[in-house]
Amino acid sequence: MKKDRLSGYFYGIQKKLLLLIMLLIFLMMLLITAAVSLIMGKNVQKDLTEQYEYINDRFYRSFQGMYENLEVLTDNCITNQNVQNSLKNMELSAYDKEVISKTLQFVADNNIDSYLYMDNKDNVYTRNSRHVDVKRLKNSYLYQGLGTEYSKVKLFWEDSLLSDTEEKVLYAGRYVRPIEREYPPGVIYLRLDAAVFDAMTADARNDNPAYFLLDSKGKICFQKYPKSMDDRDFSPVEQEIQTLYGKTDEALTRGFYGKRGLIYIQKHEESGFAVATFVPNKVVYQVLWQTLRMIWIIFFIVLILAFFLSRIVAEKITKPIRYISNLMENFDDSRLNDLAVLETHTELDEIGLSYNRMLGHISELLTQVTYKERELRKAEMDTLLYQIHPHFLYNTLDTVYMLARISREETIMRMVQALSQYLRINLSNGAEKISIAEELRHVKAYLDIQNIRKDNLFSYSMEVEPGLEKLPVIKMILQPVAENCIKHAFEEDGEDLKIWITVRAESDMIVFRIENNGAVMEEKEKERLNRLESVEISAIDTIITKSKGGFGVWNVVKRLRLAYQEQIRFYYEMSYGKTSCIIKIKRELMEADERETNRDSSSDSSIADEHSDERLQ
Amino acid sequence: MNGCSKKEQTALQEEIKVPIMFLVNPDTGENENEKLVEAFNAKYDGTYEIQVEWIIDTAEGYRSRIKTLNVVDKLPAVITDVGFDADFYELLVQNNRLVNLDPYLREDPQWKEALGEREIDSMRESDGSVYLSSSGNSTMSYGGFYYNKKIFADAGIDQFPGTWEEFFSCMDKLQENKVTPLALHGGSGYWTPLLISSGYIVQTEEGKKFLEEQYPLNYQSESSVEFFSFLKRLYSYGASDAVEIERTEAAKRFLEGKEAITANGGWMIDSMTDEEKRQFGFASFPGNVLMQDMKMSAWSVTAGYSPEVTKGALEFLRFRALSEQKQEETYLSLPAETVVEQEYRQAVRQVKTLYPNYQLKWEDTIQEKFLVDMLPSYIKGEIDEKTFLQALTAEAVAVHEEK
Repeated sequence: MKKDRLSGYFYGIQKKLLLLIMLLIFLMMLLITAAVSLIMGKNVQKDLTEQYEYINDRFYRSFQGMYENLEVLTDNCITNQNVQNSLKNMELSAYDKEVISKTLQFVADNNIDSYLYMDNKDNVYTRNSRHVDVKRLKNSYLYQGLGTEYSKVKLFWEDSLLSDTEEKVLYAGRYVRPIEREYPPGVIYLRLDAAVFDAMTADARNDNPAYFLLDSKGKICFQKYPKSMDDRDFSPVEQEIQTLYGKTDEALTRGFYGKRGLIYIQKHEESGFAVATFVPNKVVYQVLWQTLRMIWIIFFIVLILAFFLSRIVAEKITKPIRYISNLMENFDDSRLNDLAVLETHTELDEIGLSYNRMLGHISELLTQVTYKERELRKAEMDTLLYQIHPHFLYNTLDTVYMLARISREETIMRMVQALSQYLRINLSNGAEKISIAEELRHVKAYLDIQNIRKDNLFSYSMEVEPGLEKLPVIKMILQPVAENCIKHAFEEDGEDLKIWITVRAESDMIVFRIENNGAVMEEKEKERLNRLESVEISAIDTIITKSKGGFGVWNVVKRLRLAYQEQIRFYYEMSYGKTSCIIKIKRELMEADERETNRDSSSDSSIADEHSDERLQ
Repeated sequence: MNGCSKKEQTALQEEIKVPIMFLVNPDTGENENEKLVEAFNAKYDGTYEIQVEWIIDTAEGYRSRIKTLNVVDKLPAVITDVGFDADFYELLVQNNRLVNLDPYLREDPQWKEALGEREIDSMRESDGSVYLSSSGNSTMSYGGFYYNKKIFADAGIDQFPGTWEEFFSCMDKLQENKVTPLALHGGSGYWTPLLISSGYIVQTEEGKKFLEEQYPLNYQSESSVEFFSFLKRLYSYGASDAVEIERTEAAKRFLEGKEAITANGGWMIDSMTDEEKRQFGFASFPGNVLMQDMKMSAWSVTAGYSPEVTKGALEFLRFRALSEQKQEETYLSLPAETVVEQEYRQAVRQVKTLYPNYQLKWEDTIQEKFLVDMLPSYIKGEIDEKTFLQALTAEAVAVHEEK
């Protein structure tokens, strides 16, 4: 049922075309989205991976630059002669210490917050001579973390030893080894200003990613998030980065797609620190989303355009189809000349032409069928007529008439005369149609005969509207009705039994009315007879059989329907104690017959003339 | 990968860079190791590449740079001249700054043979470690006299003197001929006079012991007195400004024929033009005595580089030893083309006594500071010998104590 409803809803080429185009565009959109996502996704991913690898590399190089700067600063310190002297096996004078302190003052630069130098005799030198607990320093990771390195700069994210704050700060630490010969080393630490981080991220020149600095233990000591990043992502991202830090996968420097975005981690071998760059998925897929959004907008516009265009196109296609369909639906034999006029300049024009050709063929076939039908009817009529065509009767009747005249038998004379009249009209030289006047004469002859036979049982009257007398009508349509009337209505003797026969023109019909005042026809019989005009012509036999009587009426109705292409009425009606049989024939058909008869007559006369001309020659 | 040949696969591997710093002769602009580097890079193309930082500096300047690079932990993978400074060498060894070559030499008989068993042992530490790989070619490492044949001929001297007495007579004769006999120098080092003095002192057993002693503490011994008095005597045959000029200036004067005699190692021949090689002769110190110390030509591989770079550096040292061994064989088998080469080879072949380089035995402070400060006064007679030697001994003791 649902399928039927759907089929019903999408009935018609226009809707189907629309649906098809919509589906096609939608499918295209899906495929292009998939293809773009696949191809562009990969390319965008590849490009972005390279782009942010470069940014991470810049961030790393900035870190490397900072590290190298620290190396240079501490190099200068280490190779300074005064500092080197502090390592020798000799006690330093106050002056020596002052000289060393002044030397170290030059170490600080913009990003150095403070410094600490401790020689191999535990003499500590700091900016502003701040006190440092040597024991605490030696027990700290800041000192222990220098490990077995000879003299590389090490970075530490540790508690501040040079301030009272508990915040962790970034230190650069390094052994100060003797240049010339072996002595225990001193240590130098530079405390870096927090601004150094901002300087590094500024060097990356891109605000989209988040930047991280991890110390040698994998702890994040600096992070800078883009404004667009959701606060809730901070913690998971940091956890993911710290987890990845433990892996020694070199691919991490080329980009790793984590749960929340693209992650780069590049370790700095010398310091043990690592820089990490995190690019949120939102940024990674931004270009792809923008592209897809643009594609969808384009497709949406195309969809709307396609909707209207398909309607227009479908209308152009379906309009002539509907036109042809309409022609076909309303087609009947009266519209054989309604040709299809199509100028769509499409294949539909061919359909129109085919339709027109088909009409031609139908018309031709109809003509043939009509002709054959007429021939058939004629043959049938001939057969019917020949059933009552004893030609020799004419001579016999003439003889009987002569004998009656000689014997002065008026009744016989009248009867023979009427019979002769009846038979002559009956045969009509084989003519199928006779004039209304002749038909009336024919029925009159019959009624006269019956009156003689029935001893003036009834009277009758005939009336024809002037001007209709000459209209041809198939013969013997009134006599069987009149016969039926006498046989059934006048079965029982009655007084003033009468038959009225009128012929009038009513509207576009010629109406024959045979009315009697005999026994009123039973309703059942009336209904049975009235069905004769509407049942299939082949079924008429089933309504009235010859054995049951009424054969004459059956014969009349059948011949009327055949002769006038069903454009007749034949029915009985009763009113005021009268039974009327009404026969209606389309006037234009009778007039057409009249014209044809006239044409045939003239043709026959011309042929006759030709023959006479031939005889004259 | 199936379509990728083995050669292509090798090419795909990254070439390992081995950083080295070499000295360019400030006078000639040439570096004796350039050909060696080119040959190595050509042979190991695609695997190793020696990346040289060529520096124009004096030998002392180069050694100073190496020390600075060490203290800031930026030593190149291979360093030269390590044996010149015993303290610095000790510092490097104590801090594991050098790669122990012994395991590699044990596994490589070819390298071992190229260096020579005796030479390796002379560089072996007490714990059996070997941190120095000398040149495989010892022929050019002998030190002796160079002299100007023409000046000698002009003075009527047929051949280089065979004894020290004859040597001084020869110098007298040259002076008489208005020629400065000795191309001496002072400045930042006293290499030439100390080399000659060492050649003189080694002829006695005490003198030999004095020379072989590592970080002598007593400079007031008989040998030391004889050493420095001999040195002072030499300056009487040098130019009047000899104490002030640098070694390069003295060498220039000698090569230009302004001064008759100088002392140096065989490597000096390489820096001579063909004309000079025909003009100058070579002679051992009287008594067929030559200076030779394999540590002078020794190079080391520094620790701290990746195993790949370290392997490349070791390969370079091995390549050097084997190539120079081949050069030595070729050098000795081919007839000499010039006078100086001919006489040098003859001196090497006839040498009876070899003595070590004082530079590798004495404290750096004494060589580079004390002597530079004090020798001019001593030579000029501004301080007497006793005072000078007392001060020298005191300095040696102070350095020792300071250590």
